[in-house]
Amino acid sequence: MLNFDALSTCLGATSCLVTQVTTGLIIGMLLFLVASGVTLIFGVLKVVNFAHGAFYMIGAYTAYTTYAVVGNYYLAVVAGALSAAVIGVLFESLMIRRVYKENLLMQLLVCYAFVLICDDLVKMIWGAEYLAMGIPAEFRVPPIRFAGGVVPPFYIFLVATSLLVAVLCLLLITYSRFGKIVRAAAANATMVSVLGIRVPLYFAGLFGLGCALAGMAGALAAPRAVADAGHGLVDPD
Amino acid sequence: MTHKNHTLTRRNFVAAAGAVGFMSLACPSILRAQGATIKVGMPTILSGRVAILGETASVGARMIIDAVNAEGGIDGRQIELVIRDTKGKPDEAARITRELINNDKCELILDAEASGGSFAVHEVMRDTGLYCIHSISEASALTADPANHVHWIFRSGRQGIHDAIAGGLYASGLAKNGVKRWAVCSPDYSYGRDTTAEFREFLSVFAPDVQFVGETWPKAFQPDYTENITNLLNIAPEGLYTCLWGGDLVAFFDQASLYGLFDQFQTVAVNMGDAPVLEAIKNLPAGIHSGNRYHKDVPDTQANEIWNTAFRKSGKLPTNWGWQAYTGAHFVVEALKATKGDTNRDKLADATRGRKIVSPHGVDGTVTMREGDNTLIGYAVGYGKTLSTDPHLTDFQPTPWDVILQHEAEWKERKKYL
Repeated sequence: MLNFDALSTCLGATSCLVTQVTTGLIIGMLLFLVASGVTLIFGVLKVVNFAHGAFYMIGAYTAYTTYAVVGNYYLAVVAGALSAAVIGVLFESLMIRRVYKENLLMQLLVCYAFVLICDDLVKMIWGAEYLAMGIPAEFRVPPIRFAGGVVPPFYIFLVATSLLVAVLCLLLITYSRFGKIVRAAAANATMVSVLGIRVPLYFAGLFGLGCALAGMAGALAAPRAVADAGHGLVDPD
Repeated sequence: MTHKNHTLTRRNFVAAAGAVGFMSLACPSILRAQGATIKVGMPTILSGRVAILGETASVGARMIIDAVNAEGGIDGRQIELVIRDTKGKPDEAARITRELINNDKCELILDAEASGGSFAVHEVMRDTGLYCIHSISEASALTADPANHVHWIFRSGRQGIHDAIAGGLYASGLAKNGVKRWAVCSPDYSYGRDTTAEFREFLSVFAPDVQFVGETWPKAFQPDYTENITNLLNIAPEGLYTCLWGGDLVAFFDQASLYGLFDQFQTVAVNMGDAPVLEAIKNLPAGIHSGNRYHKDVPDTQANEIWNTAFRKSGKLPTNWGWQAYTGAHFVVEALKATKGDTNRDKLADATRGRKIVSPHGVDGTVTMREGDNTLIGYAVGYGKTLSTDPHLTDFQPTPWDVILQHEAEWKERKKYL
């Protein structure tokens, strides 16, 4: 039996609609940030980065430590994205580059190994217990009430940041020199390299960018979740 | 120069082997005195979001075993604690426990698994017939249900029903002050469902006029609680009960605080009162009602203070799992002392059943392994309110054990466990 009681009740109440729509937006935007990195890498490099969750975890842990040391959440988010980008570039240069032409199973194997290594490194550095960053001081304010619904200011920040990142990514890939070169290289890498462009460098940069997006998502979500080793395998949100 | 012939003849070999065999049978204490260790297996969770369970349970168990070993061991034999990670999966818990017995040659098991895994370990121990103490699981049925009763298996952890009685009694006080409409938000697996049902049952016993107007059941290790939080906002209860725990509880509280959830109704969070949880929630709301779990001031004795200080030397914060595993290991050690190191399961069980030990966690300085259902009683149970600063828990109201035992007996009758 189908039961639409809960749905009709919610549709009839503005407060429920507001809360549900903002909730959907928050979850959707965080998912978008993670997914955009995977899509960017897959779309251009044709590699399914199964280790993407590990970069999400790296971003969350780096943000946790940066916030604990510096006490600045915005800096923590930048640090999370940068750390994931640097490790992403290294991962691409040392491992992924060697399996571009290999079949999917080989790529999966390399990524899975990387996830396991990351999980163990995290355990060694931060320990196996969960870590909680907590809500940054500037967002510890009462939620905004709108049309009877409840919207936390922190979530407005998350949605706005994710939208900004989406626009910046679009501009970067569509209009910048970097974007044009990687798109051209994805279509015909040999031809682009004949023009004197160091294609591997651009591919590493793009891979790093994708990982930075995952790291940023991990860092942005860190205050509302707990970080634990294995995060990369079972999460992200 | 002459050389003696040292070739081992068949006659000499048979004689030597016979002598060794005879000595082993006649004088086993000689072999023991030569340093054969007593191996105690400990399956527990050392990875994932609840790794803190196994990490702190290991610290608790090691505290007492290291102390005994430093004093010379049991009848000259050292105790070796063999700890293995089960990843919190029941099938893995069963496999690891069998490995501890068959490969590592553990002679008894100190189980430090969560509820799901503990039932798997229980069946392995029933099958293999070795002595076992469950030190973590709080699922009441594990030892209360006669169908699960095995005379050589014990429980040194809390029993969920004890906390439910204490929680129901405490929450009935809130009900008298107008908190009549309740909702629940508990984990969607055996522990969460059972513990919540028991709380509901006892709140209704102590305050028959309360109503349960809604429920929401997050999955284990769920990263996002927004759906559950918005559900609660829509239900708008006057009281909320949750038995979320560990990292899940911390994540739920951080996310719910964003919505100002705890300003809108009274919250009873039975598992909030553990030091790592209290200290992990950076903006801990004041006035949350919580069970004591492990708290340095409950009981407020010098023995507990000393234990708390000793535990923290490990670099970990003490937890409920820490004192429970400590207590389990304490019973193992006392039983081994009583049998002079004999690991025969019946002898160990006889030495454990009904035993009272001195404990920093006992209400009167002792805890008892109750005869009949092989379950721990006498430990500190009660509820208090959170503070956002140290000592994090205040206004603690202990629940008298005579009240708990009376209602537990009635509950067992209702469940036909007697």
